[in-house]
Amino acid sequence: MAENQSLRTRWMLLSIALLLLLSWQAPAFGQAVSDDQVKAAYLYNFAKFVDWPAESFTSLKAPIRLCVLNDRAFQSQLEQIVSGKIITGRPVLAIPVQTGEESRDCQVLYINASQQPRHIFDLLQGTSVLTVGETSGFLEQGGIITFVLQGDQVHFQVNHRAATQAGLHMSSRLLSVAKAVIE
Amino acid sequence: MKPFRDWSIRHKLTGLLVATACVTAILVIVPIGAFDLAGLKQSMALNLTTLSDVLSRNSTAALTFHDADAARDVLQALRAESSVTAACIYAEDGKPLALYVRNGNEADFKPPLAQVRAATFEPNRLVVFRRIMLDGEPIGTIYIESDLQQLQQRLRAYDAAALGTALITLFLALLLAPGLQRPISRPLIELVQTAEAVSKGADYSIRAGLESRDEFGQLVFAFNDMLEQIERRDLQLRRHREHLEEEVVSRTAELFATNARLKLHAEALKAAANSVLITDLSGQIVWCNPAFSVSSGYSSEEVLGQTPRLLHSGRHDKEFYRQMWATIAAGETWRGEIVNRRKDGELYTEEMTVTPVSSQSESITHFVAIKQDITDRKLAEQALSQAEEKYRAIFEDAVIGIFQITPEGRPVSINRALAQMHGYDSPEEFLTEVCDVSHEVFVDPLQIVHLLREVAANGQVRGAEVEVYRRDRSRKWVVANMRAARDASGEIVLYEGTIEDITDRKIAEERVQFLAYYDALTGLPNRVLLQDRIGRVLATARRRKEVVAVLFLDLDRFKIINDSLGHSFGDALLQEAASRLQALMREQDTVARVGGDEFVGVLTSVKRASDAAVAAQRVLNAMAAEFCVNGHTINVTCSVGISMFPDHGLDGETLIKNADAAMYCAKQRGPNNIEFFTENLNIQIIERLTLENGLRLALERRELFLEYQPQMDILTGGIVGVEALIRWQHPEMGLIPPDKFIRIAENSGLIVPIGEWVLMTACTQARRWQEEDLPPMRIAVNVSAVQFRQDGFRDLVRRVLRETGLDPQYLELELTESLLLSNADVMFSVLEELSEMGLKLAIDDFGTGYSSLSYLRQFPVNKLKIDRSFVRDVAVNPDDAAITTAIIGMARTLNLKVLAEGVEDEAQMAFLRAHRCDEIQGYYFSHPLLADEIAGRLIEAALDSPTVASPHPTIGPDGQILLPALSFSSTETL
Repeated sequence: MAENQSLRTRWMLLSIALLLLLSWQAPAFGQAVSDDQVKAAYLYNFAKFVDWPAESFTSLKAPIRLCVLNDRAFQSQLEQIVSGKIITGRPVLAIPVQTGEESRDCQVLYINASQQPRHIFDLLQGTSVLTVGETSGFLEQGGIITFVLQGDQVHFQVNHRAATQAGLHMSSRLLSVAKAVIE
Repeated sequence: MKPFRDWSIRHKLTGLLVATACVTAILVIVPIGAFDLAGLKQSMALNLTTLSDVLSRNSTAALTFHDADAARDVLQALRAESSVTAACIYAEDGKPLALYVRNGNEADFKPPLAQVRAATFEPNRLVVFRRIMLDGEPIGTIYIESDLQQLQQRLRAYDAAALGTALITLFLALLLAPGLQRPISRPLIELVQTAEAVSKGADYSIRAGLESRDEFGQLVFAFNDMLEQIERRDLQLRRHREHLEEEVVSRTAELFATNARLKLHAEALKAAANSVLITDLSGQIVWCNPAFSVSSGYSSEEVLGQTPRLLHSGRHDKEFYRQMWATIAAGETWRGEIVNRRKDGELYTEEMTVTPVSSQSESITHFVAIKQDITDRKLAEQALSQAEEKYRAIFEDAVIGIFQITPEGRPVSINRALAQMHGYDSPEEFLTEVCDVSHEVFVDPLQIVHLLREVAANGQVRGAEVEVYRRDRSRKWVVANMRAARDASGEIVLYEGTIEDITDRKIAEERVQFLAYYDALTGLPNRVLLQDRIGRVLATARRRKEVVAVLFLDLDRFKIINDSLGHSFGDALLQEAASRLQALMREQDTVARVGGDEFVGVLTSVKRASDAAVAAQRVLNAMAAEFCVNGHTINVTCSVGISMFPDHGLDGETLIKNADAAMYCAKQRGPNNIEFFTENLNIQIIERLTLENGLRLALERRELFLEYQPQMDILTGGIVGVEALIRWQHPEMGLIPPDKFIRIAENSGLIVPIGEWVLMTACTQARRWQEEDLPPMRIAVNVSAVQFRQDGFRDLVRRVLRETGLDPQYLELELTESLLLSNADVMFSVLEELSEMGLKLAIDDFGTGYSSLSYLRQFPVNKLKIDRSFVRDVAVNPDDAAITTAIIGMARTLNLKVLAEGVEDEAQMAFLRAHRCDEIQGYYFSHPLLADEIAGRLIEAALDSPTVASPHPTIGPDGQILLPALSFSSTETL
């Protein structure tokens, strides 16, 4: 009888432990955020701290076009984030683009690590596109914001000079968060 | 220490001055301090809120990019704010992103849960939570808390200021008080000293000094003035006393004179006829006059000192006396009737007036009651009102209506019963709505004129029956009694009377009368009224030498309709027929229902017989239109007989009887016919009656017998059957053909026993032939429609077959086409049953009815017999030939045998053979024969049958001759 009792108790404790473990694990998995998701969110957030010259929009209500160069996976993640969002009265769109030519109408252009941005920058001369990239030397080549990884954290650096040349006005608050700013 | 109120006025004033100064100082300082502190708190909250807003804005980028370091940098700006103790920035998920603590000890600080709260003072701190927004989107929360040091410092400053002010004020008040109170206390003290001097010396001539214009001056002036008045009053009192002594002497003299006058008044009261009673204020009787003693029975000695309660009768309640007392005690006069009790116990009623008597000082001293005995008058009034009440009750509650009207017809008064009879809720309603009964109530306005004239002449009218309108204009019958009410000069002022509702009786009477003279179903006159009308019509016609036509109408086949579709259907049909007839008749004509489906029309103003024929044709046409009754549509025809006055009879009864006979004749000619009466018809009717009577006895007397007509197979030429035909050998009239008596038998119902006899006799005979070893063959028996519809017909067939032992396959029943048409559903089930029993069914006289072959198809019929009328001219008339050919052809497709009746010559025979008719019957082959002759014919046929292409006439095992198929059948030609 006593043995029976202790067996049952042990069994129950085991069940509870298992349950706790599962319930602990579940949110941990759920919350795991990939670097791409963070970058996509940053992309959207950059738009909030940047003012474009009025000429770069066709109208007062024209959308802010966040373009992704040749990366449909990233573009669809970005789309999920920006869907239904509005910044300063403008809807935000995530748009896939394949060439530099197509990118001239964008407000933000993201170029992922697998692509060389140099010739793109040439094509974007004279436009107000906020280029965001992650290749090494991105800022030096004329890019405006680059992502850098520090530990498991995504940070970014800003080429303020390039931004100013492109006619973009960046909020000092954004600059204060950037890990490095080239003036 | 003495209590405050005993202090000298000098000390009181000093105390009050000091206290007032201190209270004033405090009252000024406290609100100023409180107001200042509230302002301080408000500005601190505002500062903190503003600070949080600045930090919120600065931290948006840090929050957006989740940069804790940047957020911390933002918070470091708080170092400049010495009062802020801690702050925190939370991400949107509520987790702290950056902390700031003033003493740098971040580990000890636990940030509260993120929330939204305006700047709030807590016991030792001020806290604020703000949502951090970016582009209208919340991205986090900021929390800042600050200490209250500034507030506490300010509070301490106020405490010190309040205490200092209070001390200074106290010191100044004590210093200045003695000097300030002196101008008030000094004049008062002086006045007190003057008053004490006056009181001690009773000397009102002393006056107080001091001259000033303030309240003290007024007080001294008033005090001096008072002393002066007292001095003057003292002098006046002395003078009054002297005047009063003179007045007493003169009043005493006046009193003596008044006494003498009163004595005179008293004598007058004693002599008065009315009782007079005087009581004092308490109600004690102080005086009464002799009249009182007479009416009450009490002597004046007995009542003096008593109260009027002595007379109380017990008839009035306390309230009555209380009110009387209230009235007179208030100085009013009381008037009223009162019932009192005499000394001997008897009650009497008095009219009494009680008047209070006041003295010169206006207060009541006595009450005077003047009373008159009105007992007799009272009794008379009571009797009168009781009588009135009684009559009113009779008037109001009477079941009969009571009324009074003016000679012009305006109702003056009526009772409730009358109002209700006329449909009004109350007499008042009636009186307001009805102004003139002659037009508004009487259906016949002239009637009231007659009634009133009669009342005027005879004084009254009794039992007049009057039809009146109710309020809703429906009518009612009442019986009225009326009489005139005259004034003193004999002029009639009113008519009055009673009415009683007799509507129900009247309706019943009318109903009885209606039923006596009218047919309840159709509403037409009945035979009784018809006799009456016809009598009057004839009388007129006789006088004017005019012609009258009597139409007797009978619906054809009504009995069948009634039996098969039900009586309610039959009734509805009759109603419709009646209304059509009535629509046809002119006003002076009469149409009556005299029997089940029999109607009689009496037409006046007929010039000649042809007019009557036209009218009759119109009747036929009206009836020919389709009847739609209870959702069924049905076609009905009728037969009409006509008799004319004076040619066919001089009285109604004869005319109707003769029209009936004519109708009967018309019906015999077929449906939808008209016939005029002739003398010849009369003879026929007599003959018919004779036959009917003879037929009743025929069965008993064995005057009926059967003949059998052979039926031939057209291919073999052999006998395939016989048709049993009924014959009547009348003892005096000889042999009577069936067409003369079968209809009579059907109409009289005799067909049922006769048909039963025929069936039994025929089957018995067939069985006998078989027993005589003659070849078995079919025997055909005609079945009348009347017989077939008998409920027991199937049982009869079964019984006959059982009793005779005849195999059912040898029995063939011949039915007419119309029989099948009459009630298909029932017929079908009967035929089905008969067919299942194994016997054969043939349609007789085929072609004369209206049925189509396809209709017949649903019945289990085996054979068609083509009517002789087609066969007769089949060889010469193409129409008949066509019909016959068609019948044969169709019967073949339906797999029915066809037999042609009445074949008489070779030409007919050839036609039928050519068109492959199966069998024939007729003189060509054989006349109807007696049973013995049939037997002989059969044997003959069996022996020499070279003409008969019979397949194989064979000799049976017992030596009998066997023919393949022979059938019997009989034609009962109608």
